[in-house]
Amino acid sequence: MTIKTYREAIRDALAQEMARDESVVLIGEDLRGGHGGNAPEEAKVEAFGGVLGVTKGLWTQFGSARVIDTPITESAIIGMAAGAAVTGLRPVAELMFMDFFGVSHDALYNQAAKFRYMFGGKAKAPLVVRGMIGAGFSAAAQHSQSPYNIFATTPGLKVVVPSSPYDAKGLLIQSIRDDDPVVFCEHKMLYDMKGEVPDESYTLPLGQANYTREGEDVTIIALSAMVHKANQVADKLLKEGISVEVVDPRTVSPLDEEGILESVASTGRVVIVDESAARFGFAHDVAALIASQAFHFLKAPVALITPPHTPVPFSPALEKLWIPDVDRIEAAVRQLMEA
Amino acid sequence: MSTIRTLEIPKWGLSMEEGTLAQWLIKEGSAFSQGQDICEIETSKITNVLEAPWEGVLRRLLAQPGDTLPVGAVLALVADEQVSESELDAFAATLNSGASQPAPERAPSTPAPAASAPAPSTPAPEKNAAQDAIPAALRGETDAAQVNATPHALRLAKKQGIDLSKVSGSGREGRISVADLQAAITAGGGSAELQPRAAVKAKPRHTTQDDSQIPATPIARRLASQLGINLHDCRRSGSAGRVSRADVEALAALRGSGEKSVARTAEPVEERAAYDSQPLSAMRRTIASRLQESKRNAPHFRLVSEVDLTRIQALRREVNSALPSLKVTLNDLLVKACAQALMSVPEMNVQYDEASQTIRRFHTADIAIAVALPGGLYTPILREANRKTVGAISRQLHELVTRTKAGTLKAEDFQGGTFCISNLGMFGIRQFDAIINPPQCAILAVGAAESRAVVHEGQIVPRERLTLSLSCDHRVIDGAVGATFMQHLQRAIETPSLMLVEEACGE
Repeated sequence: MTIKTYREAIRDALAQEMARDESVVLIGEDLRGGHGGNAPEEAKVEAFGGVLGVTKGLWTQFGSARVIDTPITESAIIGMAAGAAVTGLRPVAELMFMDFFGVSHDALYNQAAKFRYMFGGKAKAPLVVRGMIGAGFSAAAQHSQSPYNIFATTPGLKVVVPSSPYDAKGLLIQSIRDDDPVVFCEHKMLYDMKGEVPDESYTLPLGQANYTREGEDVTIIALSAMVHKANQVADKLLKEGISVEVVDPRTVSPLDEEGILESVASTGRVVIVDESAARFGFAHDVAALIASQAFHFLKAPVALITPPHTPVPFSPALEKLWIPDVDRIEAAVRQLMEA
Repeated sequence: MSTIRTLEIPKWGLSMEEGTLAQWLIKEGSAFSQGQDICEIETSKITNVLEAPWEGVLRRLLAQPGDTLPVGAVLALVADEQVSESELDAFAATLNSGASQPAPERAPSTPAPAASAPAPSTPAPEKNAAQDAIPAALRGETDAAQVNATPHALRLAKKQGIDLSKVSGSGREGRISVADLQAAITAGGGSAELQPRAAVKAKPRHTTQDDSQIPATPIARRLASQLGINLHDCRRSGSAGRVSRADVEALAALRGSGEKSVARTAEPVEERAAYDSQPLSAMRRTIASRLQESKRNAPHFRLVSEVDLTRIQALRREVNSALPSLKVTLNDLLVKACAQALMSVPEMNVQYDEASQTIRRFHTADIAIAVALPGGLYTPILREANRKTVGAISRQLHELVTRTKAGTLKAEDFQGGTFCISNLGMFGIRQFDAIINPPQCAILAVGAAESRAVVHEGQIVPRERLTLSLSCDHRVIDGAVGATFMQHLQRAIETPSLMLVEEACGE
């Protein structure tokens, strides 16, 4: 199997789906543009490929009809993608920083998410909205949030938060093939992360958790970049004989309730690590699920590890404190073990 | 009369906090009269019979043999024949919902195989993995790559030898969950309990089987597995009645498994020698916890001295030959000598009350005698030994030991005590150190009387000698106090005639 970065895995998925299905188109800022973006098409000057180069090369490969550069108009991008989806294309729209979904959200949450339901299944919106989430880049408060919890509150939207290159490729291909609008959240701190990724096309089902570590004493439920911190804690504590199971739900909506509850049932101790929000976030949703469905399995209260309820600080030192870190996770596990 | 009354775990003695139902002596549905024996209840030290406080009909047994319940917990419901089952149900429900009535620790499907208790009249087969019936139709190997199942369902299928391709899943895209697996087994007529929920389920204490379902902290479980300890054998002093690390360590200490043995025994279970697990009796649990507490909290120091028995043995032989009705033992004389030494050194005759941070200094020497029985160690107390003659001590000690062996001691017979004597001389032990039995503050370990070569009046001669080792709690007894006591004790033993003249000493 080839070793690829998270970025390359996503590009792989886009390229393979575009090659497989002509209805797949990319819409977004700087997909082609940016540096070299004004060159005439005949010049075949490849642009940067988005802020962090994820789509680099795709315009050269598929041309302007399939890789559509837009101005900085998030509302136009999503509106266009939603319209294109309902008329038969499979657009993959890129929002760059997911933080800027606000101006385009009407098209997504009040339109695209409801098409299939309101048209009695006669219309569908097979649309993927890609975007970056996550802190750790010192990109300040408007470029560092993880608003997947907000998308997940909308029925009709699927929300994917992959944590590894392998998952990113398989889940993105599945998302593109899915007939519902999918919000695909890529953590910017993971783009350079490497892992084994098959060259061939493959899909991973939405709504199935992955156990990145199996254990018996404590369950850590984490998403995206937090999964790796949870794994670190699990590996460290295993040496001390504390066996930690790490559950990565991979998709926030649909949520693999079974996969989560079975792990909780077997360990009875839960830590939920979440970067989305200190209130009304993924952690709280899962904690409520556990409290309502698996309370009798719990040996101790569920521990939630989230950032403070503040904007993400720009200061690297403060940002580091803001993000849930390995020490906090480890301390929570140890505390549960003594409970 | 349609009132429902309850039979409860009585409080026999101040220190009694819980009791274990050993056996029912009358059957459910039987009428009983006042004073009739209802059941046997095992406390930390004794097994007593609960007598009926009034007459009635034993309508509903709420506790089963082997259940350990706190004082005041309801054992059974008593009501007239006219009272309906539904009324009893309703009454039992109010008990269960009340905070004062803890749920009995038992699973109805598992009989308690306690040696002292007869099997229940309708014993259910004991459940274990081997007996779980997996329908033949489901048996086989699961190819994880071919099956859409949750990780836990896959794990269980592998463990139970189930082919998941024969199970239909109800999850998203037909994914098979543990619940689906359970449903398939049940539908096929099987009986496996797959849900790992038993981790927080109460189980009967008296089993010798798999302890994976005993509630325990993970650290305790890990430690127990390293030390080869069955969690059934441990106390459950942790929160929510779980076995805690301290409980496992207490048992390990009792078995003499120190830190060194951790590494030695931390090998795979299958490589260990075969063994039987014996459930701990309530008494053994008490011994474990109290002596662990003593060893941990009381800083022990020890004073060893050797005494000459020539004169005291001569005195013993003289008394026994003059009074054939009396059979004075060396132990009787040691009790007397200790009592006198305690009167001479009152600082030794103390108990330490940690809660109130006070020292109780006693006016009489109430001496506990350690009696080892197969079931554990008893320490009946000979009260006011300082005021008694050797003859009286001998008779009472004989009676106490007899009652101990017969199991008819009362709570007051072994509660209190200001000093303890433990004698292993009959086993040929030359010298040993004993652990103080709290709240007492000292214990005398007596070795074997034997003929030893000693220098006596410039000559090496054989003399009958004995080694005494005194363990003292340094929190309340200083070295000099202990040494002074030993001096007085030695004097009394080597010059036994003093016992005749120092009768009233210390009063």
